[in-house]
Amino acid sequence: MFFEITQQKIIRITAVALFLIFATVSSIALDNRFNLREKSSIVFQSLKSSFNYLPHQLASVGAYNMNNTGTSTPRAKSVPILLYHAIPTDKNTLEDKEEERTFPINLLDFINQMQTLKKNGWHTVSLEDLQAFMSGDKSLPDKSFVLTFDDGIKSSFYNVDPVLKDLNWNAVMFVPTDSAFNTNKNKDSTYYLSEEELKHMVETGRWEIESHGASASTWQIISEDGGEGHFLSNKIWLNDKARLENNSEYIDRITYDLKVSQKALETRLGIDVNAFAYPFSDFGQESKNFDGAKTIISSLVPKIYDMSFYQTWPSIAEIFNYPDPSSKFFKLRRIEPTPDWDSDKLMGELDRGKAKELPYISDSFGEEWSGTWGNIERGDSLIMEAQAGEAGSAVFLNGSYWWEDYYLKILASWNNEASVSLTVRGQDEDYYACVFSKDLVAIRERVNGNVNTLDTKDFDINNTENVSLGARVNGNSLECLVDDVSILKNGSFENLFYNGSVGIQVWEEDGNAKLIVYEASIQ
Amino acid sequence: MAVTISNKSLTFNKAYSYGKSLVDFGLWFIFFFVIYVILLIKTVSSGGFSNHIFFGFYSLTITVYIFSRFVLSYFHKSLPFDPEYKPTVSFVVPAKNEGDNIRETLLKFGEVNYPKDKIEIITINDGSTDNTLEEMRKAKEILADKIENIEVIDWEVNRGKRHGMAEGIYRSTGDIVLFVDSDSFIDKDCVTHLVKYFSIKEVGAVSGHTDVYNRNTNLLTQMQGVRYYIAFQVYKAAESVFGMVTCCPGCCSAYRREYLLEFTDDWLNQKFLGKQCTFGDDRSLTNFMIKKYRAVYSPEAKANTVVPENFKTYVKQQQRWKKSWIRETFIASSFIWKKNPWAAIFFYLYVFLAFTSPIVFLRAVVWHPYIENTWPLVYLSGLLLMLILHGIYYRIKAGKQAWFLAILSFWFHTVILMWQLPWALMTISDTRWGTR
Repeated sequence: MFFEITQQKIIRITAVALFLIFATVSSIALDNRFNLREKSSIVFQSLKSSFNYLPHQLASVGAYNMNNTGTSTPRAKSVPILLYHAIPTDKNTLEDKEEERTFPINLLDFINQMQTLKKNGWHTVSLEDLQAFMSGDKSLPDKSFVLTFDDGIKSSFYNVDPVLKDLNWNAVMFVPTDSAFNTNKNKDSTYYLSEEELKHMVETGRWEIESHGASASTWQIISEDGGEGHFLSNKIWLNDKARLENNSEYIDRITYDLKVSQKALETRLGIDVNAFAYPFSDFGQESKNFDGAKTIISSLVPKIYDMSFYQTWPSIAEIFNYPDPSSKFFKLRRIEPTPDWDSDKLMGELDRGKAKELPYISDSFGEEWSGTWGNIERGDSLIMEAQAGEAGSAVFLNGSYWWEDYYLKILASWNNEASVSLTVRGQDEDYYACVFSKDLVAIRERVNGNVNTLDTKDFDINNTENVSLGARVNGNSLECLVDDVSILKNGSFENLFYNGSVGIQVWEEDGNAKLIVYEASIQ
Repeated sequence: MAVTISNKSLTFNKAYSYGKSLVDFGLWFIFFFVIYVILLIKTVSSGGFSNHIFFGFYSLTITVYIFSRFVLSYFHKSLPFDPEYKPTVSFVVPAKNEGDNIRETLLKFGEVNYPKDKIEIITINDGSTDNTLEEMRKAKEILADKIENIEVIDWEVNRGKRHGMAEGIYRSTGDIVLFVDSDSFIDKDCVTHLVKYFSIKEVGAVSGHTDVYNRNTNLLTQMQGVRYYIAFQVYKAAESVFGMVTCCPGCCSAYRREYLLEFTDDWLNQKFLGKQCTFGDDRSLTNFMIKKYRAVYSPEAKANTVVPENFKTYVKQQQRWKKSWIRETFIASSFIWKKNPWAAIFFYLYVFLAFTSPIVFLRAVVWHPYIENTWPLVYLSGLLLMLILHGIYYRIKAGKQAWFLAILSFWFHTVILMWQLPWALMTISDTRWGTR
């Protein structure tokens, strides 16, 4: 053996070894205590994404019109809320995930959409401002919108934050708390934002963190044969008991989820959480096994949150949110711009959704007359036809939601077997309507999805060419007119709502429905 | 006046040595800081160990193995020089087509600090087609007044290095046989420092320390310069503490002739997989020796050797070494466990690491980026840090040398070098030299 072990060597090597072990162990202990690694990683990644954004920032210097804060700025009648999910840098992600329900939008497309908004005078407002606006306590400048992101995905913080900083905007992140908080420390998710990152987001002052439920974004087994459904809107199949949940088990479960996610965010991040975004935008309407889900969710959510968010699509419904001073709880619409929305499309969608002023006269018809059913042809006149195999067609005027008392009048021709309805005060799927059939005029209401005929009168419309039809709503009365002559009037709605959109429908049992509107006016 | 000047120069010297020790201190600090960073990375990434026992074990093993080399080499014993012990030595230098270097190689023997009457030189011209034989004879003429016993053997037909070495063993009369490659040059004190270990009876072989002669030619030779230095100073020294140096390289090693004769015949006729062994003669000879005796490393016995200057030759040389490594490791595995448990554990660990490193490399550099879309940051930074650790050690011990670029190029070359072992395994039955 050729060892030379001197006291000096032993002392030296022991000292060095002990020091190195001490240094390593204490570094790790410090990291565990203060999350140094993650903090530095956050700083590093933020710098990296700021650096990536720099060319866009430089390219847009001076491109924005900054004088939109003058006193003459008109006030907003309504506010749109934009919804995004992941904002990946990777170009291929879109193609890879096209089948998925939520669209990731490539960062370049997202930047383009944000810069388009900025150039056209749009700006973000916070949830607090939105809430004050909705309850009528505060007015907002025209072209205010709320920018929201669902699912707490890393890319939608790191890639978006430099944009927010540059445009001096803020945004809202809806976080599924199970994904954010229940990760093992050594198996940190590379996809979902962590607690440390959420804390950092709060510190930037540019982000509001709100709830997307705890487990609410998951799919659950909802039938004996293993069928799956959304967490919130379905009763879960209890395998050990071989039955579905009963009502109280269901209520307990979703109440717990709504509360625990709020509590987790509030205690861990030290913030107030008063907004909830429905995962899958399902507030019970998509339930597969429990009809009562919608009613229960509608009564539970307002007890825990002040605002809730769901999703609508520009072609089929109003997309802006209008103040409702009578309410303490707000269920708000969001629209999700898709990757194919270029500047024109985005501005077009927001323009057609914007609140329209009375009187409103259309002698030509554009996208603001949004079709929800059938074939719609727009132009000098509006041509509505049933699709093959269906019985009718329907449109509504986007941006008319806030109108209260008005007289809707159209000049139109239709095939004389068909019925034409003028709908007023439409709110989501509910409305009041004057229905003009071949030999009958009727007043109908659709409330919570149930259609009731309130009044009818026999009336022959002999000629269905160039006829003027009208519906005048005033307070709690609706009057139906043909060629400006009052045919039928009813002043006793029970579940009255005082505002809502105007719409036109045509219906014919055999599928030959066709309506040509030459002119529409609302006064 | 004179006093002032000497005072000044004294101050300068003081300041100089103070500055030098400050630099040394700084370098040692960086050395240990790199270890600290490696420990941090390993600890932090150890969370993955539980996921993957195999790769976790690899990561742990390679760290322990490399650190153990440094620690063991630190405890390596340097024998004091014994002025009474002066055995006779026989230099054996087989050469083929080494006309460029052979004369200088031989002339260096005349300069050694050792009683010239105890020196014998046997040089074998192994069928050279150049002026090697003439150079040998010229060297003999020049050396004639210093060393009497010089024998130049001329073989017209090439028989191979192993035959040359064996011929040297048979013909020599010295107690110690000193093999020096025909492209290596020994220092004046090399013989003394090699020979001193033979005063211990169980020592059968001593490896000298060989540096790269043409170190400053290009990046490739600089890289080899670092490799040689570390391979001797750290890795051979670590083996030496157990008397289990696995290879006393041909460039400059001494063997006890008495022990050699016990197995020279067997060694000369060594066959592996049914074929005559044609390279790795030094490793093989050491292997025969340590089966029964001990082999040690003498860091003070210095020599220099010429290394390949272009990549192709270098890769071919490495390829031969890897093949002989596989062969001799296979053989050593069968007996090393009987010798010393610690030496054996480290030996088998190293075998494990050598064969698994390509798998770990594949996983980090191919699997992770392409399949899992993650960068192998931990792997690449760990590898680089380990190499830098070796580089700093080289810089501290060997003085101001170009090491950083050499280490970087080593880092890149790992990709190629690592695959030489599996490649050597696949082509092990091809016993051609490739360079000759």
